[in-house]
Amino acid sequence: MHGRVKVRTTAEQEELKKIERAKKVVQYRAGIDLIFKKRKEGIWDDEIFLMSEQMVLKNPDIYTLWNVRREAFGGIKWSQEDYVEQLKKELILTEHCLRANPKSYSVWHQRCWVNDHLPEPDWATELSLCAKCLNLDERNFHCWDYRQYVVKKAGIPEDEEFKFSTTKIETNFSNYSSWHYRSLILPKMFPDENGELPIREDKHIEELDLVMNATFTDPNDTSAWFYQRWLLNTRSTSNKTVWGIRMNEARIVIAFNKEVSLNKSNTQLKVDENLIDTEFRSCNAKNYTSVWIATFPENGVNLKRNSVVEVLHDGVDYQLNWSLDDQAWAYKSELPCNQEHNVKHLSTQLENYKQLAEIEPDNKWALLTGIILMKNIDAVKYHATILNDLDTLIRIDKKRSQYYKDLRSKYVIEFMIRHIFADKGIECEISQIVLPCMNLTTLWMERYMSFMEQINLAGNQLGDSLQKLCALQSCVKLSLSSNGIKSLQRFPTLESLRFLSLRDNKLSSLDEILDLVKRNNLTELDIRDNPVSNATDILTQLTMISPELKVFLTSQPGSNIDSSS
Amino acid sequence: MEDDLPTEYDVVVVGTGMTESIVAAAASRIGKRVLHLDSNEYYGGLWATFNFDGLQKWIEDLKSPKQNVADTTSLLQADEKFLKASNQYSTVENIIEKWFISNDADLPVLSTKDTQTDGSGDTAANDGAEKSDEDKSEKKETVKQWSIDRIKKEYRKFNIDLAPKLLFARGELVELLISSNIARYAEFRAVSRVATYMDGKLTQVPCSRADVFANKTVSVFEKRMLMQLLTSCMEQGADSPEFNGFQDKTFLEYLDTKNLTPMVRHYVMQAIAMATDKTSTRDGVNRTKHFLNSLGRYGNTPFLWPMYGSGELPQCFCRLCAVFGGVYCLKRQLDGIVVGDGKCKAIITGKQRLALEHLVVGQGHLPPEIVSSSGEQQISRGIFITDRSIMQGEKENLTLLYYPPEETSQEAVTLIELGPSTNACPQGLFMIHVTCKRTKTAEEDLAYVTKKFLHAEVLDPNVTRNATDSHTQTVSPDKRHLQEGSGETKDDSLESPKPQVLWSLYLNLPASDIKLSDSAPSNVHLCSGPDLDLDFDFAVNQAKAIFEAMYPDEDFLPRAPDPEEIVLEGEEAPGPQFEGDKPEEGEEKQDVEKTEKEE
Repeated sequence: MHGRVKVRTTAEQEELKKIERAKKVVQYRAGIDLIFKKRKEGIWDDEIFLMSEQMVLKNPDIYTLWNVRREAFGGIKWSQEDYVEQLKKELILTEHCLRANPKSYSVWHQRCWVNDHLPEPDWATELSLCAKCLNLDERNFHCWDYRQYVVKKAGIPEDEEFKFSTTKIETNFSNYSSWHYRSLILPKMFPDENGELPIREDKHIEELDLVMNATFTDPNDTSAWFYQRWLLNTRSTSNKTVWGIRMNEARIVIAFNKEVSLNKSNTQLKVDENLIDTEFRSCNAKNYTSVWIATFPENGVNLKRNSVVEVLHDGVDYQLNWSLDDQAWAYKSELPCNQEHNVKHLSTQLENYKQLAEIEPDNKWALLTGIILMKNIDAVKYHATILNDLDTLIRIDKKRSQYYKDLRSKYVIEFMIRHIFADKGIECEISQIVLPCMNLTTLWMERYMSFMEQINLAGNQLGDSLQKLCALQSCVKLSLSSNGIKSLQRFPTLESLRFLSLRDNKLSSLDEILDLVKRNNLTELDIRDNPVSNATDILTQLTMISPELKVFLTSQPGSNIDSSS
Repeated sequence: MEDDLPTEYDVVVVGTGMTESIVAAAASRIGKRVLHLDSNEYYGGLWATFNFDGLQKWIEDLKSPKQNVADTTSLLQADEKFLKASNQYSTVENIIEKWFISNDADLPVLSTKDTQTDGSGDTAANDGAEKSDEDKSEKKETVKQWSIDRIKKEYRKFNIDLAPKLLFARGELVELLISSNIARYAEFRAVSRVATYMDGKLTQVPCSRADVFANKTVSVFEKRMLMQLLTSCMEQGADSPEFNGFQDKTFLEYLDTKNLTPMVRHYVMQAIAMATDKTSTRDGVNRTKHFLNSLGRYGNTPFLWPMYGSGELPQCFCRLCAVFGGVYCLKRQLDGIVVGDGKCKAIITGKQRLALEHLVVGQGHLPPEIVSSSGEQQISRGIFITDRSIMQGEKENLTLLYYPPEETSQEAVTLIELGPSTNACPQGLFMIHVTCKRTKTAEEDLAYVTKKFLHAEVLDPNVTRNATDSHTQTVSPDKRHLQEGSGETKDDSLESPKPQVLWSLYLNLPASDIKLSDSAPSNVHLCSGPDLDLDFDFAVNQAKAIFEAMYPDEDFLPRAPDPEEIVLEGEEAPGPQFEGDKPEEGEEKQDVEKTEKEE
């Protein structure tokens, strides 16, 4: 019968698709060949525009074609009018492509390029394009990026953008891009004068409340919690970059409050007004680090007790004084402290999150935020609670237990360091720190241990993450007993180190021990209770490298590094 | 006098209600010969949507008795019995129509100046509607106030539902419309807010995550409680251990154990679960789950409203049925059915005997001999045209309100308020539908809700009410902006007067739970009329069950092909191409596809 309904079967449709695909491939190959040929021969004409246009419409992600198009813009001699006309056509083309694929890097990039080359870009249209695009998908970060570009170029006032971000968050707060956008705009609109809070105090409160609303609505949505991290990230600041300096005839060690890069132009050493040629090296061979050392050639520095020693760094003059305690020239300053901000408001928030954690004992975000709030309010007062809550987190959020353990280590070390320094006062030299059996999994604030001579880290869980020990540049006696260490590969070279205990670890490589002894100038090494201590010939080999070295291999009565301190 | 129809069918469907239409489409879709009859000149039966004039005619027609059936004995064979069709199960009762405004003649004459000031509002009001010259000239003379004449004159701008129903965004009907590809015949609008009455005023219920987040009246702890409760209903369902021990208890008793604040409890009970004190925990949890499942798919609430009214939907299915060859005949009455050997063999209609395998019949045409119970779930309906929303907002809203009974003698009422953008009414007006289970008459059953939310007194033509501050009529775009800035709270709902009713209609629809008797022929399938539920799920499930009973091995409404997937036989070879016709830039791609398909 004529005109009766007959539906194509799926097999037929499949067949049709196949033919279609094959055709596309042929078209694509022919097109690419032609374009590449013309490009090679430098023939820039309308055809190259036309061909590439048809192809990017089908697949906007072939970035080479966009490159070719940009080359063509430069290759053709245009009249100003035609050039602008062609650029405007390019805008239309990119818009078509974005409709097909709103997440194409190359198309967004091309659009930026076009606007950069237009004499009078129409920013209003671009902004409305962004708005339209973000209405369709409020989490398209390509578009958020482009919006930033447009806003910057067009000089759109920040408060308008702030409002925009608020409306986007209200429709769907599960939006990393929009929260992030706020974190870019807010510090520009409301900077904190002291630089300690990310934004001005009153706005800080508002934002904390907004984000609290989101976290209570859906605690499983991480975007809000991340923004909250940013808000609660108060920076401890000190107006001085250098924290401390120790110098003697042999070398100088500088510990900074932050990671810096030293070179001859930003850092100079002067003794009695004479510039000393110093080659600073970082303690861990990285360009940016917080402990820098320089060694002097013999008789390189003519130091007398009454010499005036100064270090100039970044335009600040640091005077060194002779310190009897250290038998060295020293510059000392306070530990940078955390300023308290919005304590009342943070306390209210803390109450809320504590209650939330009570209602939902497994809510890890509530606990973690509580911890960060407590730390911001009064780290000393809440120290025990913080550690307790961290232990809970380690238990309930097993996947991230290592993260919490590291966090716990940081808090413990910071607490101890602050405690010691507060106790002894600035003028007194602190030559040792005792941190045994504290479940430490990582070092923290190790820069403030760089002048200490005795460091006891026995009975922790540092494992193989030993690279941070590099800051312990003055350490003579170090105990790493019972730390579950399997490998010494990351153990740094420490010039001052003489006594090292590695007792009761899981060391098994003789080569590593030999390497350690080669690199460090040790007088005593305790490697009892390690698999490696049973290695044949170990003693002979060690003596060959370092005849003076006293090695403890098996438990025997007599001296023992750990107990001798 | 009547057209002669082909005399043999696989399925004869009588009545174009929702269930009937779905079954007709499903049968036609798998290639069955379908005849679909309706005695009315419109589609939908009691599910229909009328314009204002159509509704008046419908009311008028109900008063005149149906014509009698002619003698049919000549069409019967010896061992056959004739059962006369009856309309006793589709009786609409207690129709009360009232006007609260006057005719033009009784309205005070307004000065030209007044008319001009209103000009801008009226222009906006006519946007989107058809604009004839007549309209324009009329506008100059029309005063702002609504009169009986004006409503009657603009009758085409009304779409009035007998059985207004919403669709859950993930309900049976939406899934069916999508899977069967029938959705392309219909348009929808999302219900924009779910309201509830609390502490003496109407408030919008935060039901989506965004709502909960943005809500400023609920504390962070209430937010958490609400989200927590919703999540556990949603993820775990009624069989979760969370609800152990509450199987025999009410939802309210369960909620009472959760230490919720009164506000959160109210939101969950009355707006989300739409439960009463008697609702069981299982039902409450399932309703909450159903509600939440449908959130976030199409709009801010879980509900969709069919543009131009619920009556559109049966027609969509009829259209598909017709596309696949179903025969349609309106204004054709079922006279009765022919039964022999325990089967329905044929129907008699318009002096014709039409043989069939299956008879699918709406409840309005059933012969009483095969009905066992006439049902109890009758429906009370009220329809109001008002001059403003029950809850003024910054933009036009489509509102759902569930209002639980104030006293034990009353029934819970669902209220749906439609604005002009749904095409239910012209700009400047609102259409309110209220529905509840019948206990007395519709007017009596619904009186307490009418009194609570509406001003249903005759309007004195000489007193001009404050201009409605509803944005649909008077607020200019710039002024709207101001309102947005100022109004976060919904306090204005207290201050602004109740909507004035311009016109109202009460009616009682028949029960939807009538049952066939056991002696009914097994190939007769009953389709119920509109039920009390908010959505169409009952009709969809009934249609599925009927189809399953008729054709247990066949697919129920598999996806219908798009037009481009259909090949007309004899045209499979490619036609001559248009050469020299270069396609335009934008169309190029499509054209390529088209040519390729033709090949």
